[in-house]
Amino acid sequence: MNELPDPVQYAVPAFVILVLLEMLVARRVDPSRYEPKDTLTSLLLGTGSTIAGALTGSAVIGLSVWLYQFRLFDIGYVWWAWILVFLLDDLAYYVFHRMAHRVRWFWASHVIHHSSQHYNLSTALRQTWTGFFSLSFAFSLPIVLIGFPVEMLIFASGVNLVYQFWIHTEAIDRMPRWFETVFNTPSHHRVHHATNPRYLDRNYAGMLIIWDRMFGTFEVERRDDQPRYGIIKNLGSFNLLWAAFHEWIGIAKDVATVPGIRNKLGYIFRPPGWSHDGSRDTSDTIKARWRESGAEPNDGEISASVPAKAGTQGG
Amino acid sequence: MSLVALIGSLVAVFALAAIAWLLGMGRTPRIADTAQAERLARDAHSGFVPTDAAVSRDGKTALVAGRDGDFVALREHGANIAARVFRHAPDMRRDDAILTVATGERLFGDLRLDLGEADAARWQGVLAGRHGGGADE
Repeated sequence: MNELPDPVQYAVPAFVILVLLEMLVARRVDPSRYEPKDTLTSLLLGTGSTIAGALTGSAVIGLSVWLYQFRLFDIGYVWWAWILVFLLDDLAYYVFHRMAHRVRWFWASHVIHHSSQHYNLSTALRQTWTGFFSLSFAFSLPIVLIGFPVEMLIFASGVNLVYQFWIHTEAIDRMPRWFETVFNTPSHHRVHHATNPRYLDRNYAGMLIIWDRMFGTFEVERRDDQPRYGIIKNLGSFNLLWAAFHEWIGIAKDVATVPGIRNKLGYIFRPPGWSHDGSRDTSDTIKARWRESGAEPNDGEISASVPAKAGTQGG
Repeated sequence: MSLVALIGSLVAVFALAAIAWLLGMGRTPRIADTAQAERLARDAHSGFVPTDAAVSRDGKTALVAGRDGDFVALREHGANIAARVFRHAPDMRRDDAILTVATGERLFGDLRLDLGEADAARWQGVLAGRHGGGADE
């Protein structure tokens, strides 16, 4: 295999500096954008994710290299392959990410990233510990089977991950129109992290927002519906282990207590919030109730300013 | 990942959290009044129609009753408010002016509402009158 640099490794010092800078900006604009315990939880989850990745990364690479022998084409390191691999990796990310929100098994791993009620650069680093266990790496394997070199794919995935760091901020309102049309941006990704019914299960993009536009999952950030961040049932705790494993524990409890194999499989593979007796909310039921309540404003105006926090901050 | 890199990462993590604390980030939220509690409850529970709300005198917690017999419990969490939705009236107990609402979650904790004797007694009656099993989501 060719030796390519690990983009994430090189980006880490910049991550630290940018978190610090964002914190200083937030202090002037809105000190509630950061919360020390939340920041510590997010960053420790990020550190744990790095450790988990280091422990399991070689297994994923080994599997990829093994699969590469069954490739359909010998593509190699030609110039156009670089463009294609970035596009395909980003498409694979979109598919993975969509599944991660629609299938509880993958959500159990991905929920860590959404479990902060803050939206800042430290949230970007709040990453899963159980990605390997949930088999989320499987979504990239078809790219190896097509014939793109494993090292090339790993590099593209690394760049994708680094790209997604800067979009986790409220400090940037909107990018130029052409950029917002093609790329994932802070505005698009604020929508993705929001729990407002309108925004649930929208904007799954990694680097390119074009996939959401193509597959009907795009939603624009609106001035009249400012994002509220977190998950439907916010943790209400800064416990690190609970943040990392709560949904897995929830699955285990549900599977252990519900009767019938069909119900048990439902609690694993149906959308987050699904229940055999309809006693819980999925994003679909939440959206449906929201539409029925007539809360949907008519005017779809694009956010023109940095979203203000809900009026819950005080002395 | 080398041990040096891990130690370096942990140093950076704790340094950033310490800086956030030193900068005074993350002001504790307060629920100002029943109107705010009702708005927060609507945000937390799609389609929720609040009919009554109790806000603790310290502004740290609130309980909102809904038209359909559902309830939303609110409490501060860091610089935000976290909520729990109950399809039926939750279990509770009253000690004079303090109403304690059981969430059934150890890490979320129970909700302690300092309402004053009269309001606490009234809400005890509201909850007792609408109690129906306490299933929550």
